[in-house]
Amino acid sequence: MILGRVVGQVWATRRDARLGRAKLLVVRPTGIYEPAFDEIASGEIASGEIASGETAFGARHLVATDDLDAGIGDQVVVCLGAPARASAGGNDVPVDAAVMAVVDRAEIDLHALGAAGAGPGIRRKLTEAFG
Amino acid sequence: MIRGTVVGQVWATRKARGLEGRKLLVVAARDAEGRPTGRLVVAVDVLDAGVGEDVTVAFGSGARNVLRPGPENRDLLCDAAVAAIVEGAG
Amino acid sequence: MFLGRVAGTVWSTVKWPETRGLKLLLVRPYRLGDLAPGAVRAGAEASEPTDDLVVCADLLDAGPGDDVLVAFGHAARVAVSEKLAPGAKPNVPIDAAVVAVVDRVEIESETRR
Repeated sequence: MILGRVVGQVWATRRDARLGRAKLLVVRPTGIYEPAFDEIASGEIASGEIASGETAFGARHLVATDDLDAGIGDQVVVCLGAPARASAGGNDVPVDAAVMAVVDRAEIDLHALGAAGAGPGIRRKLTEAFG
Repeated sequence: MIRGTVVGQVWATRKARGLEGRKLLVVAARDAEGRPTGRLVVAVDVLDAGVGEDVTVAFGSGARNVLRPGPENRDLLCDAAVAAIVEGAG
Repeated sequence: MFLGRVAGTVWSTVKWPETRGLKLLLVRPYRLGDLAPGAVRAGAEASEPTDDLVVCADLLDAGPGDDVLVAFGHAARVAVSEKLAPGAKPNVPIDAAVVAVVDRVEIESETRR
């Protein structure tokens, strides 16, 4: 799933019948951090400063169905890989993105990524060896 | 599946059906060399991974199986789940 | 899904048998900045969508100039298979399909939070 912010809504009367009256929200993907890893490690980017997604995604957007009454301005979690199959009644729907949670609070600390160059797992092994 | 590091958590009272009470973690994806790719993935966590831990994240039906194994999980609006906490990697 | 504008049509005689009779449209995805605050009317002049062109199956008879909603992946196959082979598994070699023709889009002007 990805984090995003609801920035708008789409109205469409001509639609695949299986979409029903599903609400369609325009979501700006966020939670993409920029710039490169090195600058994060050197402390130039403060923890919690996450780019809007504007540069990382080239100002892309996505449209997701919403059943949780998310509003414009809400931060949301969007499911991308399952919605086509996830419908009551067992029939697949032609939807590739759906809001699966409306965020109350998000805490992200990019410094948890550790020192540049350290591969996953290595940090832990060194601690055990020299701890 | 991808490898990554847990960098945060998302709290949400309003969640899709079947996912109530589930913990959502924010994982920074890493490439094959272990370098962060710049993408953040939100994944359901049942293994109690903590911030700073290295994990693997499963997508698609693998993710739904983490929550509810078997064929009766197609209605879950979840496409990513922490599948393992990594202790070492070659 | 993403929002885009129909830029043209693709004709093809050599194609997978399952897709015979399927209309293919060229769609230009909108950038978020192009979906300016305020209403965007279908048919109104859009400011510079991206240069990307996505080939999408179309069952809603969208035409050049229409703003459309496009779904990718399994969702696209679901959209298309019902018409081509009702009741059959969605196994067509299609990965993008128009799922709605847009009447109106409203984007709030963004404030950093």
